[in-house]
Amino acid sequence: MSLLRIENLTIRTGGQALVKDMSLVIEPGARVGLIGESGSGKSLTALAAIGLLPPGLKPEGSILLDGVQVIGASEEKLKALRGRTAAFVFQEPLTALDPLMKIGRQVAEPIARRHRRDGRSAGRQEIVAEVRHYLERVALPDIDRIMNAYPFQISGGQRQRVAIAMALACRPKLLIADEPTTALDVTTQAEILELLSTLVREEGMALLFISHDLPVVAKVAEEVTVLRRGQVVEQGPVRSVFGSPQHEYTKMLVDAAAAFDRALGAQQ
Amino acid sequence: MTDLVDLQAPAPARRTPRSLTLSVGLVLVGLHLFVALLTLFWTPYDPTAMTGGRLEPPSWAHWAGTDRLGRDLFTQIMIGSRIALTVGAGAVAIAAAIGVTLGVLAAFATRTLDDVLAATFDILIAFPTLLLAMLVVAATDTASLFSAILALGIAISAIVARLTRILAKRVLAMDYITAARTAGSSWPSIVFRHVLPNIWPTLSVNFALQFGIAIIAEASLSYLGLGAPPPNASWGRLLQEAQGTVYTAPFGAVAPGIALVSLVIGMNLLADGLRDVGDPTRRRSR
Repeated sequence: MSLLRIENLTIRTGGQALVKDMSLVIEPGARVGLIGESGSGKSLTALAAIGLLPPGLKPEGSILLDGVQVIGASEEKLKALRGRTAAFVFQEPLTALDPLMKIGRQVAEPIARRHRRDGRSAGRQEIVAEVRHYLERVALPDIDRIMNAYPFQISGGQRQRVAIAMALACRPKLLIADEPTTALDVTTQAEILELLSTLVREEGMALLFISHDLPVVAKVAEEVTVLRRGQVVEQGPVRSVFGSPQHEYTKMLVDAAAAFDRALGAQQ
Repeated sequence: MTDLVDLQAPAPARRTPRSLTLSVGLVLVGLHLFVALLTLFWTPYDPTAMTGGRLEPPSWAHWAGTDRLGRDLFTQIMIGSRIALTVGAGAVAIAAAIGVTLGVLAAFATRTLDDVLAATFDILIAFPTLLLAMLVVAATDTASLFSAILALGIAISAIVARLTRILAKRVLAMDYITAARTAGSSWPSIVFRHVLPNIWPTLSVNFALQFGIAIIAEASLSYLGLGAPPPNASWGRLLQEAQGTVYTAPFGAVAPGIALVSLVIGMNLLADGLRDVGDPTRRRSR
């Protein structure tokens, strides 16, 4: 059974379709890239997958997340899916963390919730040990200090690591990363990509990686879906889609990336 | 590489020394609180006993002079502190309970219910606080300390509700709320873990301000004869009683005036100081 199976998804607001007839399949453990310019419907698709579209946006079609139909599902049913089946990492780690809550408590929250869902109460000691485990997992230094720090007291890269730790702490089957490196500087970007790839492989999670940045997607994904103005223009393994792009838009993306490489080469 | 990143992080914030504003506010409010508690056990004179001549000026025996019945004014002003603090605390507590609940409800409500609630808050705010409080007092038949507290609490709750609604809406639009929802947080957990803590710094400042407003409003109600009835020595009633003799015995009006102003200014300074303490991202700036 596929982990996520989106079929003929259309998202409308008023008379306008923001996503049109979109289909996407993610198998357990697969790493899938979703690429497209801003406003192409990437993030909406991801939010629709867990039934969290902003009010006023109506999804049509079919979204099966771990075998459960998301469209039209009750809030109770969706809440059970969120975190456990799919967890999110967002673009801007500063705003994705509660500014007034210490890091340790923020990471503890999904852990405590997971234990509650599993119907067992975990002691404080046990939860703290798990918090440390996940912060170690994302290679954060000086964990004692970070657990007692507020988000504004640590660096952008560290904040994104915390956000990843929080997603991991849910133990999801699918990790949805929505432009997770866009707000970071280039060196930190490379580290976070490396970390995500390693974690996804080691934890056996599937990854839906959303980005507008072709080289970044090529680095982490095996399969890619190219979205433009809410429509899928190309879909397939990274190698074939980027190696021999068929659609004009994909060609343009690849050319732009290649032109950048050439410019770099000419400089040297 | 991670070490390099780590160096750029700011040092953990220490508790900053309290700002001057906060200190002065705390001293003024603390003084009134001390006096208010003291009156529960001891006052210089019996507030209802005639202990001197009529309308005496301040002296060592009567620090604030006596009123037109020869009662000690300082004693009455001390008791006034207790009344003022009781009314302020009671009114703010009622306003907080009603206002925060309705405000959060409106922020979470569907479009229609939110519009209805928001319009209700706005209409209630359009009434001057004092007028609204007078209406409530009138509706409760007899003027008592409790009716004054209830009236002011209800009148102020609209202001608190509107502020809470706006603040909560702003927080609900934040990424960390979406993040919490994507991880499976329930609405109650979002309200108590994220929304309330994040609006609390701003709300608490507003509570302190409303506390001051409630005290002035109570004095006004008492001045109009709608507040706590005698023998409760409200500052407003003392001012009203001193009005007739303000030219012959000005201190009868000045003394309760000083008490009123010092407590209200204290509350406002406290509110200002609280703003810096309540928000960890501001703590380091001073």
